[in-house]
Amino acid sequence: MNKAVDIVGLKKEYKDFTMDVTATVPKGFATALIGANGAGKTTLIDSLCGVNAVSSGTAVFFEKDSIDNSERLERIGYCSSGNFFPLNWKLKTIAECMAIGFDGFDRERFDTLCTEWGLGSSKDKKQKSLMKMSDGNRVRAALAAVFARETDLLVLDEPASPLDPLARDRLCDMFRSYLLEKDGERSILFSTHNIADMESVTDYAIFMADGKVIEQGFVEDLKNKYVLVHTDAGDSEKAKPLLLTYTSSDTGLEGLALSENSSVLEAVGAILERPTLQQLSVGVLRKAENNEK
Amino acid sequence: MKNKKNGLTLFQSYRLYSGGGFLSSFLVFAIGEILVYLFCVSLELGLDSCFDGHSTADVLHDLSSNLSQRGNSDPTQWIFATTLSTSILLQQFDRSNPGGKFFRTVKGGFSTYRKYRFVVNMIILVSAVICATVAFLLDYFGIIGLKGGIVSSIACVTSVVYSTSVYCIAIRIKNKVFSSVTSILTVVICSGIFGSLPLRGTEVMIPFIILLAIGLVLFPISMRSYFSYYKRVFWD
Repeated sequence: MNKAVDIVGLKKEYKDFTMDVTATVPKGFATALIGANGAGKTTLIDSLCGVNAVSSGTAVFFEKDSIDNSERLERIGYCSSGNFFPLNWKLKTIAECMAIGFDGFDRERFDTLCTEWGLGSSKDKKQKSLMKMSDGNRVRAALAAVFARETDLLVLDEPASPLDPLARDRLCDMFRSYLLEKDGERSILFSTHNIADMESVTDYAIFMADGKVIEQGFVEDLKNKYVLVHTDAGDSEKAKPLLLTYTSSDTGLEGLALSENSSVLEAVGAILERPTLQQLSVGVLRKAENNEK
Repeated sequence: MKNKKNGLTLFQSYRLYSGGGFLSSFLVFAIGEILVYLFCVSLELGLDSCFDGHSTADVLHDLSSNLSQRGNSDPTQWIFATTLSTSILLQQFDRSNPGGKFFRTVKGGFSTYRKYRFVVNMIILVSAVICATVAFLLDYFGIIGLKGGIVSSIACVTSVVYSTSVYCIAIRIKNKVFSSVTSILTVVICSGIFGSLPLRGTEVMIPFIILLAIGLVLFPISMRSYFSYYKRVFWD
């Protein structure tokens, strides 16, 4: 597997939290970084993009052992959650400053994307500042700026969170176009809580809990590795020992198990189903939470 | 011309961070400080006349006739206002503030930030010099009197230099409330000291020139210390 980013022992220490990550972001695919609040997703993303300094460890980008910092900044398109640009900026200011800050910024493309997103153009005479825009429109402006750059890796921190469902669908289309444009040379890493909406565009998933990676792999492989189990109340006790995690009710239980136990689970009367990424995420993260307790 | 290694010029760095041009910022600041000076002088002289119970016409008459007389405008409040106004430009770009993360990923990274701050400091210093020069010239040509004359002008620039230097040290205070209060107190103390000295009846320039020279030597040292601390604690 070609790697866009190879992360080995990347550590960031805070007073009451330590991130220690070993993971791979495959080249040519969209990777979702999934985890509960406080799991370390933003810390990892910020550390990879130079926003945070790391305590130790390495991150090898584009399979180059040593990459010049300026080249790295130029090839990675980063967008954080929250207010990415100063709030007094307008689209015109964003366009001008992006052109100064990055060599591969295409102002025409930025204007096209802003118009598609319904924000107007950076050439309009009257423009609103970001302060007067909604959260969703601020994120759209930031995403338009990032997508208007010539990059090889997009690293986005919760890009879908403030967007409406239609905008999320459009974002998924933009992800696909971005990956296809350079025929497998481009990659995306994004963190998300909207797993259901982003599933269609997610090829690879990295699950994090308490600053560590607890599971990672191609989504299809993970869906083959795990199985969603449904049992009724009578069979639940027989199935429980084989489940990694479960929720129970009066009518039965639903949980996640390893596929290798499928035949045994079927024998005890469980109904098995291929999990969606959403269901997989809930199961994996719940297991991690239970392990912590 | 772009430096291939660092990528951005001083003025590009300023434009990137401020979102606006260097020249427009500089003109706004310089003209703004001159207007502040004129306002402070007019306010002081106008209020004096008002408190004497004069009519509006008399106030305006007193104002116009007193303006040109040396010794009628107290430099302390003007110097305070000028020094305080420098704090407008000294904003931080913490990671949690809007734009904080963006600026850490642009070409040049911290080097670009250093260039931006250098330009900001030059705007602060040069506009203070211009304002002080205008005040001196207005006094010299008998248009608006300035108590202390050129000494007050030098005191204004000195106040700005010292308060900017101390501000660079004040960020080391971890508590943000104390840090902000210290910054404001610095402005008050510096402008109070340097503003009131010309009023003590001495117009001897040399002590002020020496103080200004010391301030100008301390200034780059405080900036170096600031950058080192800021990168270690706030930037990384």
